[in-house]
Amino acid sequence: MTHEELKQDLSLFALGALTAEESQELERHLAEGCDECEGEIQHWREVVELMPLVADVEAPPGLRDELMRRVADGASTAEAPARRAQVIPLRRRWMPIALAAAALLLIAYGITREADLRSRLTSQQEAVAQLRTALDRASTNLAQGEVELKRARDVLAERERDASSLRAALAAAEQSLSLLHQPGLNLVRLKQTPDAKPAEGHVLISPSGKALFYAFDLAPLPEGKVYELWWITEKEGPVNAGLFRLDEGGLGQVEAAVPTTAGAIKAAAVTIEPEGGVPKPTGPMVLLGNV
Amino acid sequence: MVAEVERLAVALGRREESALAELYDRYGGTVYALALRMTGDQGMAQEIALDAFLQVWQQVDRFDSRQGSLEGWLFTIARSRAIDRMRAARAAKRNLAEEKRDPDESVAAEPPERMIELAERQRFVRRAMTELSPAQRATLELAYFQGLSHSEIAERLGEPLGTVKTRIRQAMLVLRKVLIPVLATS
Repeated sequence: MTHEELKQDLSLFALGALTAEESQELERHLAEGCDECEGEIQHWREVVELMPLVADVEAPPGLRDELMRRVADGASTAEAPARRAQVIPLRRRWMPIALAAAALLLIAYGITREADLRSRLTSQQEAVAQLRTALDRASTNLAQGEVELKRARDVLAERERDASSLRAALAAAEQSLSLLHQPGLNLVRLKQTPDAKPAEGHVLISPSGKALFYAFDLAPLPEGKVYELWWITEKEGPVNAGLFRLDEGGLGQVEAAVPTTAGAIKAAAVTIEPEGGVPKPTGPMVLLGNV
Repeated sequence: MVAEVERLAVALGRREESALAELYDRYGGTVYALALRMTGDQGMAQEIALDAFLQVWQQVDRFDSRQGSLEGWLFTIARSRAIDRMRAARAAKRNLAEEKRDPDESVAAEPPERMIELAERQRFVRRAMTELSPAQRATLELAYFQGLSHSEIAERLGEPLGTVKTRIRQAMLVLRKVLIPVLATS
């Protein structure tokens, strides 16, 4: 090792914290007469020599007398272990202090180790907790997302259904109205019968045999009743042309075909009939118009 | 302080038992506490304390005040004894010069201000220890009170060797800085 490297280890050397090999190498370096390290080591030794002052326990009473007795006896330190049995028994009151002192180091070490482990555990737990929170949040978001997605799908499906029925309605309306574009259209007006309340109806009949019927101002029907439209023909008399109810605006509407085998149509009429309609009129006539 | 150390050392050299008694009165508690803290055994701590004082008594002629204070020497002996006992295989390594000096002073009664000075230094040392982080303090105590080398500490704490060495160096620098007022050489 270089001088600078050895100098770095002087404090550890003074503390006695170097390994045997490292200590020997430093001792050799000092023995070689490095003044700088020699001066430095003195500072560190002084620091180390003060360390025992951190401890604060009174020596057991009687220890002083034992020391002076051994000195008077001319005891050598080598004999000391053999005399160990002669050491005066400690008073009970020193036990807690001694135990406390003995435990101190273990506690200091334990606390450091535990604090370190606890700190690592805490940070890991925090990390886990954060991940868990993030996961929960993500799950919640996912669940919410799924709910919203489902809702959006439902809305979309509803819209599609609406659009589909609108398309169908539009197609039907277009088909109905296409009638109006045909030349030779015949219009028949229907009026209320003498006993009926005032009302009105129109039938548009195209040369191709299709017809559109509209009724206005008819009275609302009781449950179980329906309006039935009739063609009054030359050969078969009344022929069913279709059933209808009034919409919210009071409008009645039927798309009908003109019969081809019943001879000429003389008139169109509307009667009130039981639910489901009947082959021949049974109820009161409310509208009638000659073709 | 130096004169005080010289005075006691000289009196000890003259085999004046009152000087040993005075030394014990000043440092008996500290030496015993040190040994107890290191070994955790009261009987062993008493033996170590007795051995340390007896060794100072018998080998005072090896004491060199230029190498450090008399109390430092006493503490070093006590610590070495404790380490020897705790780890028979681990020999304490201390370079103590073996120079003799001429005894020319006699022992005086223990002046109270000396005790105050000791208390003052204790106060400084304890404060210095509180300046250390818990990890620094624990590592330093493993080294000093348990006599463990940095590699043994690293093994015990399960930490890298470099970390332990650096922590000890930093801890020692903190102590040295705080203890400057009570260090003779600084």
